Amino acid sequence: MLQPVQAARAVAQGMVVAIADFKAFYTWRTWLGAWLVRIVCQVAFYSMIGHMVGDSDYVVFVIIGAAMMACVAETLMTSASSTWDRTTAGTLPLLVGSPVEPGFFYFGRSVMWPLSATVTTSVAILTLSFFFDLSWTPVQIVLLLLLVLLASLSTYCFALVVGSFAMLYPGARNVMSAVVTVWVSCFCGTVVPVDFWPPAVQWAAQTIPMTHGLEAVRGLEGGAPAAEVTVHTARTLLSGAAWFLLSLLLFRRNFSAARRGNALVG
Amino acid sequence: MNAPSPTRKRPPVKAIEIQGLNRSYEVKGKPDHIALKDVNLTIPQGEVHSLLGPNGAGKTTLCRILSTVLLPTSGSVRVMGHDVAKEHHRVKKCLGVVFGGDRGLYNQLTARQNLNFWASMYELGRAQRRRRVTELLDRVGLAQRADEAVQGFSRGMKQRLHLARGLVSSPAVLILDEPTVGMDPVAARDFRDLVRELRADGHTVLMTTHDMPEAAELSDRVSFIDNGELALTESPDVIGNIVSSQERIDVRGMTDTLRRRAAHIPGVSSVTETEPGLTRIEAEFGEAVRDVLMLVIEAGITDITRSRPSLEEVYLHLIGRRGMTVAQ
Amino acid sequence: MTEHLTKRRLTLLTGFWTGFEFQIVTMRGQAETYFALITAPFFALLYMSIMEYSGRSDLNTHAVIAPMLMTLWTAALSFSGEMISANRENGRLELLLASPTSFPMLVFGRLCACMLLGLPSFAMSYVSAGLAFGYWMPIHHPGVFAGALLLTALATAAAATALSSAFVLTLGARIVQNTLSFPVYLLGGVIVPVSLFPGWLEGISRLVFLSWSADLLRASASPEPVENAGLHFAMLLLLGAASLAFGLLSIVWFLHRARQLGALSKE
Repeated sequence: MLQPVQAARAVAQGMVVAIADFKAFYTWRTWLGAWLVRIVCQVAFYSMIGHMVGDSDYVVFVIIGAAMMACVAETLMTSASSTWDRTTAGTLPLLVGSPVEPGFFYFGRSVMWPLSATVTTSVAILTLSFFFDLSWTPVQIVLLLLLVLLASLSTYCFALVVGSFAMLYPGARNVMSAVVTVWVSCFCGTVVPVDFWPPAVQWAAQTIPMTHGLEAVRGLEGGAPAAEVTVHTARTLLSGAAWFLLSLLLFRRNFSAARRGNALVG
Repeated sequence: MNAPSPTRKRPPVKAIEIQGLNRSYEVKGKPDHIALKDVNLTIPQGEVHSLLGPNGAGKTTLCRILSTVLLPTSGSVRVMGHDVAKEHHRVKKCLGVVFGGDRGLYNQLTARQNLNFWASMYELGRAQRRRRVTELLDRVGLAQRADEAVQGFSRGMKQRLHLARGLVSSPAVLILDEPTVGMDPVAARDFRDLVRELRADGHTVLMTTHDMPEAAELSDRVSFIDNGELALTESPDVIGNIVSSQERIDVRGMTDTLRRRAAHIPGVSSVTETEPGLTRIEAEFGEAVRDVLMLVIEAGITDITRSRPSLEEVYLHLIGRRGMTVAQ
Repeated sequence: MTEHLTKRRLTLLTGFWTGFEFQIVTMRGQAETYFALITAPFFALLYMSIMEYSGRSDLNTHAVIAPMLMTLWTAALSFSGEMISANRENGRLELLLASPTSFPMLVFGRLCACMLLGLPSFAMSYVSAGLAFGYWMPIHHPGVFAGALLLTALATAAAATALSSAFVLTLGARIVQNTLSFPVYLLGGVIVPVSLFPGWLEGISRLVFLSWSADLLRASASPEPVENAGLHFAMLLLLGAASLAFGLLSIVWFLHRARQLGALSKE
């Protein structure tokens, strides 16, 4: 049985790599001047569509939806970073040979994405709110940040499952993240309510943490009762936890397959 | 192989002419790094010339300048009479480049597709391209695997494909930068045959290498480069004479007494037992060598080898024994 | 002198066709090529759902055309970045530059071949809107549509050529790729016509060739005569040609600079 200390240590080791990778990926200038600007433009792009086709309520609906969509896209970069040990760094055989619990290590390994996404998503929502006369009280802003963080982390757990597959097929890492991102964008209530789609799609959307995270943030914005927001948040976390457990199993399976001589570490 | 036709009437243009070449790189917060310092070198057409030197000596920098992808900081460099900085377009047409290692190919394409692409980059027409590519694949022994993706090739096969790539335009001058690094012995032997053929066809070859026997065997002349400076340019034989006017005699089965007597012969500088039973005597040419030989033959010994210092010894003598250190 | 010019022109053309042919051979065998297409039908569904949900099926054309323009631009961005960085990492960049063929034209030729992806992406977007929402987009002015598509493809390749010049010196191609997607979709009016933007924003957007393409493509699908078609085509041509000229010249300049600095290989 894995001790909490060991798990925490594995996560921390993963985070050391995550921070180094993030620094190699962005400088402060490129993160702020390029990435953040792009996310704000993405949300503005959808807000303009909302503005073209609907009323101001719909614009607010789309602003929040599009910002959370961007959050999903950024978090799913996990798909790529889960393959880096195998492709660029060549450290995968060393990891497989070590006693680390792979799922926890990989939880730390890509954690830079949901954290960065929390900031970009929140900034995008608040920036576009300014342009489309949507106001937030200071308390709401704090709660917004918290909800976005929880939704990002829960989505991250889902992204780890995608990452565990990307590890097996590194050539498809970008297509996997792109398809999953656009699928979630389409069907999880970002720009049209989930019940717009056929029942089977609605049911599938319920398993995705972002579906509930969106409900929570929209509840917060629309002044829904605290209990309702809490229920949505709990669902977000619950589905996130379920995906995390699955990712633990999948990464463990990948590592044991590698030990059995699978081409993964060849 | 279409041999370049050298002009007979006028004095022939030099294949490579380097005068006062300097190249330095800016390094932030430090003085400029000097990669080449006042290099002068002239290579006539048809010569196979080797450039020897340790890692970081400036060999690759020189190759890059010759192939027009790096500009000289000062000085003049001409290939077949064309200036590499001002007439790079003309230089490119008479120059083939092979950078060593197995990088530089399109791995997802087949060998034939790779060569086709480069033939087209060197402006060969469609029919000419087809003929030339088939001919080259055959020449480097890849005809059987021509339509397989390069990613499945061994390192040696990729290097052969690289050579074919460099030859695709039948260039008058061929630059080979460490062409045999990591090649297996069979491939390296084939490579040497290929260089001999190229010389026979009248191509000029400038090759950088670490491999002394290879340089000695193939080159008309060799140059030593160290710390960006050209130390010496001569034919392999002459270099042996410059460094040492001594001859080396290896004798098997000398007794201690015999060794002592040999050491007393005037003109013998050293007598050492290099391995059990094998004695190396270094002596001046002429009388000393003769006296040593007489001594051992009279003692009934016939296992005698005479040799000049090898290129490798010259290299170590000039460059020094710096072990694994890389020049900065 | 004229002979020299003719030779130079030939070199440019050789570069273009070598690049074009090479890219087609490469793309055929690469899974990444098909990956570039895979999001188009999803984007069509996403935008169609917005139109249908808000009862604006009169704007369905926008939803079908946008994914194609987005695919073109994304493909151009990713291929242009990949082209320089992959060649540099693999040690091919120097070899390419050591050959007599025009490197900038090679890049442009390759990018033009990438633009062939526009056709299947349009087909996928068209079919998914038809199958999921029963909207089969009519094309009332096929000539305008085809002309606009061709010029858009060329202008996109030209713009990407201009971008690729920056990749010669900087290694941050991936950041540029990730960054320049949505800002360009927004300013290019790929879904919301830039005429609906506030005046100052429309002014800026008119400098992005996509804004003229998107207008023309949408107009070709409507039964009314296409207004100002001449102006639109002229602007598309002008902006495309300007990007190409800028791209070719800046690659030459950046290459010269890289030759001075010794920044062509990654060592």
